[in-house]
Amino acid sequence: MATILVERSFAEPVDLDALNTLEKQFGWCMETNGVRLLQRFVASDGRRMLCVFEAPDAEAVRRVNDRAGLPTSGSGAPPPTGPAEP
Amino acid sequence: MLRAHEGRYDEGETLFREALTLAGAEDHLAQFQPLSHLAMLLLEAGRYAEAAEAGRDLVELAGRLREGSELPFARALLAIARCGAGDDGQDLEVDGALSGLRAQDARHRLAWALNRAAGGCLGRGRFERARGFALEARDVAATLSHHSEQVIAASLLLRTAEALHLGDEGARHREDLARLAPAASSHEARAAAASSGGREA
Repeated sequence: MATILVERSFAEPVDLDALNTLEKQFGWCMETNGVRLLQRFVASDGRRMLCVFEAPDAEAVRRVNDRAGLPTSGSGAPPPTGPAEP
Repeated sequence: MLRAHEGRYDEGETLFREALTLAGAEDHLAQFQPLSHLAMLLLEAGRYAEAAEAGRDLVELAGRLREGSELPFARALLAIARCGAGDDGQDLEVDGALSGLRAQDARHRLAWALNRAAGGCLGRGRFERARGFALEARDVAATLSHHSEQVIAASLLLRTAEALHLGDEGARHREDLARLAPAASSHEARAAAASSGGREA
């Protein structure tokens, strides 16, 4: 498993309740792709967010984003500080 | 996808073509899914000219998508299909596309492309190049616990070791194949294991 960082940008301050509902709605998709949300950090203006996922690869997170229609402004490979491969 | 996985390529092809027709003309991502699976099926079936034709459409389609692994995957598939069709001048294109897949951290697609690139090289007697691709495919597939691609890689490595007269290495790959083969579920992986003397799942 890899640790994947995803940066999200929103035109309007994000509605966290709506985001939680969307994530629950697409829980099946995350499970199918082996993706697990570990942490979320929201900027004080509510327009930017950093999400930390555990996933087989960055592509799996991209698939979930595409399916759920979530905005993504950056998705990268596992950071150097991420856990080692099994 | 299940039909293709089971080796029922004709049925899979019909369904992928139907899905492609049903995908909205403006929804490029929805079009990419069936077209990419169709091209993969054609390549796995050894229909290289048709796979290259689908690969050309795939590259064009991928160019309209957001940044991701679609374009390098499409380029890899097209270059591998062209190699299979007899064009030996595709090395740079294959290597560049594989680098793109690594950069995008798209390990499923990378493992698949590496194994097909290895198979193509093996078929044309380019054993060292085939070995390099298959070694990486084996490692990438292992991180994903993708048993079918692991078996295909092990089978390719065994055949490459035999061609290069690497006795000890061949013995290790034969052991790997025997250990992994029961976990392989795809028709292609079972056929690869059987053709290399491993147990068929």
